[in-house]
Amino acid sequence: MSYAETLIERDLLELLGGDAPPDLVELTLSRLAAGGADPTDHTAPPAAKPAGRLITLRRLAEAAVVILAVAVIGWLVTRPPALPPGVTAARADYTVHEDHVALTDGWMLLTEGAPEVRHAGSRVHDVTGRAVVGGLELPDARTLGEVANELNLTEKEKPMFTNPKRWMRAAGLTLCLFTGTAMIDGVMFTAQDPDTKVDSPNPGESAKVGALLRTSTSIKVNRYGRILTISDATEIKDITTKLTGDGFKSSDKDLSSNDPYDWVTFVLPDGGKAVAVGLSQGTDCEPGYFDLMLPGWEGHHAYTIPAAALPVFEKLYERAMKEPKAVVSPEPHHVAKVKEMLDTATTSTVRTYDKDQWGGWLQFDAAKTVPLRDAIRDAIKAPAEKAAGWNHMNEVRLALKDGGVIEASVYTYGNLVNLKLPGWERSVDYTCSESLRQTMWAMMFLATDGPYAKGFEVKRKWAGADSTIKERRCEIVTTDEAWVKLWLEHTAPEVVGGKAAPNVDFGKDMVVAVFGGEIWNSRGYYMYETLQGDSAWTIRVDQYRYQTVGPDGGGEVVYPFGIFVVPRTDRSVVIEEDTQGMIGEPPRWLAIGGRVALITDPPKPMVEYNADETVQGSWGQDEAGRETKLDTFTLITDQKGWEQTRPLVKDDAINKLRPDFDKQVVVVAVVMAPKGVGQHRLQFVGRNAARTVIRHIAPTAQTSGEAQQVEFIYSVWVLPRPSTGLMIEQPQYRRLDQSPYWNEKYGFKSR
Amino acid sequence: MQSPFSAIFAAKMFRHFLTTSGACVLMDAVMTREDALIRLMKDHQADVWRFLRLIGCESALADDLTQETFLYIYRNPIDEISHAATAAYLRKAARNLLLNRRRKEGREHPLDVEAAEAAWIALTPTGHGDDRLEALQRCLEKLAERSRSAVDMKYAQGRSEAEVAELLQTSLDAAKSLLKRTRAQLRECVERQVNL
Repeated sequence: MSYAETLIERDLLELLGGDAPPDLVELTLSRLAAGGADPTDHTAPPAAKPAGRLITLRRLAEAAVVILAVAVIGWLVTRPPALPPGVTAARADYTVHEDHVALTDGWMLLTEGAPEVRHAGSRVHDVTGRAVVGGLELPDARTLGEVANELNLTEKEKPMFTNPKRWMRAAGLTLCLFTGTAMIDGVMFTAQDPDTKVDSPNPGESAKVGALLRTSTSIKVNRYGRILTISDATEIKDITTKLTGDGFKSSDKDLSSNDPYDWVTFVLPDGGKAVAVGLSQGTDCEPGYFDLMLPGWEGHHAYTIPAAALPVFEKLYERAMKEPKAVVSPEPHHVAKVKEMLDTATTSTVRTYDKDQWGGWLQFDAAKTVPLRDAIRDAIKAPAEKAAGWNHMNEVRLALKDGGVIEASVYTYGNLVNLKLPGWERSVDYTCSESLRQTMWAMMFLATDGPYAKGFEVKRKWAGADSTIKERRCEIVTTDEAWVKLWLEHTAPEVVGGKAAPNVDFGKDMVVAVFGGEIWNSRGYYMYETLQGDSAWTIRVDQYRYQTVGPDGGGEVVYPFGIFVVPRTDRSVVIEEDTQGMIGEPPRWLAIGGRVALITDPPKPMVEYNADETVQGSWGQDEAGRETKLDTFTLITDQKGWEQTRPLVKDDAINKLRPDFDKQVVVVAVVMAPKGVGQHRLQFVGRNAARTVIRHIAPTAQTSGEAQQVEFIYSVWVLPRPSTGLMIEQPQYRRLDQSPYWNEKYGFKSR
Repeated sequence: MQSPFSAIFAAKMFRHFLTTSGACVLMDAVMTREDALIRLMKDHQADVWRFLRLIGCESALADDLTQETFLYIYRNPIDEISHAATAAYLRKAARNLLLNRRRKEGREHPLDVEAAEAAWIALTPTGHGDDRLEALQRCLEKLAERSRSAVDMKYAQGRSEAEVAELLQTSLDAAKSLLKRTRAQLRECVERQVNL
């Protein structure tokens, strides 16, 4: 009986005979509680059964001869089938089918144009960059290194490939995505490293541009929506040599009126693409031209075509016309058809830009894609004249049902959306309604608290150019003790008036601090991007830089810093800084600090304790003036201070207090409030090894606008003398029905 | 300049829209690992058990290995990108657990991995075994009376093929043939239904 028939039989037994699967949740949880989780890797095939007895040398030799003979015959008979363009295999068992490649074992490097690859019930498809796919078992680093060489990976890709943390384990396979995007079972994944693109030469450097084109690994020719793919190395060399031979040079000619819907793509070794459009054949008096765009260029640049290359392109176009018609996107001005194409989007990835930082890429499944694609479809109106810049936008990539990806960038400011459909070599700006930008904001809000959120919130931050830490360094702080020490080091008394470290709840949060050392023209650091990986978090920072003029450039020496409170993680953390010096160029990330996974537990909550004595009272408005001699909060730590302060309050109860300043301190708080609203309430006094915190709620009342009698309310607290800094906090309510956020009001450093 | 108030209002409206449109999976509270395990089991345990039964596990062993499969996933969490992908991963882990168990017992388990997987996927393209069972229920309703009787006797009443033959007043070979034809007919019908 075949498995299909057995399956029907099993289903009949379940449906009619009641042999149904039991609910095993409780049993499993019991086993889990009893420590029953099995650490063995069961995604790897079981090891072969060990031999039960010794094999004699003779038998061994006989077996070796037989195996060798079988292997030779087997190799001759079943040599691996030729792989389609875009696929390179290493140590792989596979079969090639009409519309896909079935990978049984080993690794495959997929580049743009690769067919679908299936493995263990999952499929990888629509790769737009470079990715390696393999089975679930990742070997040791040495074997990975050998495989990397067999796959001819670039020098930038090899470290990613050999780092297990860079591998994504999803469905029945593993994937290492170097550049671009890839889809697994209909869900799109995006490479995280924008800096793995090629370093393109400047448009004017014709020789270097030519040299780069000659390294192409494949060429695609699009003629009226029919696509010819050339992957034969000899032919590619012939084409690119003729194209970049004598007569290939940079030109100022404007080719924007030429037909942009035929194009030639040169796929470069690391997955980047050089795209040529607007080919003109030339005349007897004038050479032919084309517009070329390399990775990293903002637009196209014109080049002349050597006469020897023109017949080559004519033949390529003729060959392309014999190819079957590919999926063709509508032209940009057919807005209704563009909208129809948007309707076929199934999944999406989104990344938002807000408050000077990019969020991570967020994966959205079909249910979450529908409202997003509908919002874009309903919002777009007509092609706009304004040229797109790349900055300050929310980016969306919509994966289409029939393959291909629509790239959309929604501007944070202004009602414009930039679209690029499959097959378009230039993106087009469209005017759109205000609602689209609002939707993108909503997406950002939605994403930050959902399980799909990849970036994380910066809860508080301090940045500036006047740190007293004057060497370049990074700190990741997870304990109150270390935080107080760092803050004291960072804020000399003359800078912040001796204020104590702000309170951070290290049970939930941690502090990431970056100090730039002595440099010029910076206003401090901001958080650029946070990438929340499974094994490590990456925190990317950049500086607010500015330019000066004057003798020697007029540079100002500064000591920039950025201190960020972010959600606590016990995973590894990497801090990266953008080292790109050129304005408008994509960032170049350099690791500047970090820490390995944390194994210590979060700190325990503060120990609460009570004030030893409390005296409260008030004086009337007629005694105005007395308060001017008292600060709102006064910390008294010795008898002399007490003798100076006590008479100002004028309360018999205070005269009876006898604080022991060897063991105690006194805090005097005075506020003005409408008459009769009550007293200070001491909410919490707590301390740990690093600090003592007093949280109090001052009396408040809403005023009616009419003149009201006010009074001055005072509270005097005698507290056990802290050996640490003291922080007095007041509540701030975002919403009255929510818990307050405690904001430091006054702080005193420890002696 | 973008007004933060209008943005927050829009965000709330959008959340409301998603909530009311049933698309608001993102609103789920952050789950503990145990919660995640329970959710994963609720979604997949039936199909893991069914797959183990398909590849030859007796009922008690299927119970045991289904639990072990999810305990393994608890210790080695995966990226859940879709229901079908997670189901494929779980089947792979369950299958290897079975093979390991057999190895430890010193027994070989006859299993054509690819064929079993292909049969499962062909009849379960959505990744939900319940869809297949629903399709089978619909197909059963379309069976001819004699075929339906044979199926009921064999699978609902647990009768042997000889008893089925006797009750249908036919030979044993004819009864076997009838059941085989009916299963093939049901398989084709289910395959059509689940691919609609």
